[in-house]
Amino acid sequence: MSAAAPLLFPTTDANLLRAAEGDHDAFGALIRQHQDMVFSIAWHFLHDRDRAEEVAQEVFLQLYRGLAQIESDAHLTFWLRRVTANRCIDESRRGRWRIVTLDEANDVAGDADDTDPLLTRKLGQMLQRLPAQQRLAITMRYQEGLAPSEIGAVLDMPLNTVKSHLRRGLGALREWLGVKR
Amino acid sequence: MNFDDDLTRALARKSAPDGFADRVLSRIEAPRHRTFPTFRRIAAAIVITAALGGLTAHQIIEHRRIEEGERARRELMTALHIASAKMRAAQRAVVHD
Repeated sequence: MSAAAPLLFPTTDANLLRAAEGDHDAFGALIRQHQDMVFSIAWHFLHDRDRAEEVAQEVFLQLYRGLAQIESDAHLTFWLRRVTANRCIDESRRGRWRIVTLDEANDVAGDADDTDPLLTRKLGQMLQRLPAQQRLAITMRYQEGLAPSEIGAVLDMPLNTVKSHLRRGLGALREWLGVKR
Repeated sequence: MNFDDDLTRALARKSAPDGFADRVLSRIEAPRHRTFPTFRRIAAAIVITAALGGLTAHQIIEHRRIEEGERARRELMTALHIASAKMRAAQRAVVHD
């Protein structure tokens, strides 16, 4: 699988340095550069717009407090994925679930493309039925385009465990959707 | 169309809500302009009140202890004066007899 979504902001390292020195505009640029990735991981995991935004905001607030530890753009991306995943799991353990209407769910649709909205909705719903680690592994694989070894690094789990999560999660999704292998 | 492609499309990145970055930045900037938080003010007031109350109680107790000591001293001196007077009276009676 190819790398993650294309970079729209090429000057991250410079922004990183300026942000670490307390430049809020530079930090704002960092947020705008990575907000879709962070929000999307949280959204695909939680399927709740408000909670996904809350998690994403907390991730960036944590980043602000720990900017000095970030060494590069690649490190920043890795750090954001890992912290977002951890916060998603923390959030799911709190168990603050609420009913999300179909309109609300559709409110966070992806950019216009040829995606079948019914299938997208159904896949999103099915994803919520998977255990947290499987959900995260599949999100990292299909949203971020990470290889299993990269997923293992982000989620801090052995390669075989990642492969197992992917195999079981995808198997369950295929079965629920009636897709043949 | 295969399952992997469907999943890739279904799990494509979504746009963060409008104004997301501004909301994060406002949460960062808010503490700089915020004065001492209310709950901390309340906690500080409770601690100061308790400390002042404790100090006042200690001073009252100490004052009472000193007063009681003074009164006991006065009573002792009075008792000694009475005893001394009676001793002198008894001594005079013995000498006259």
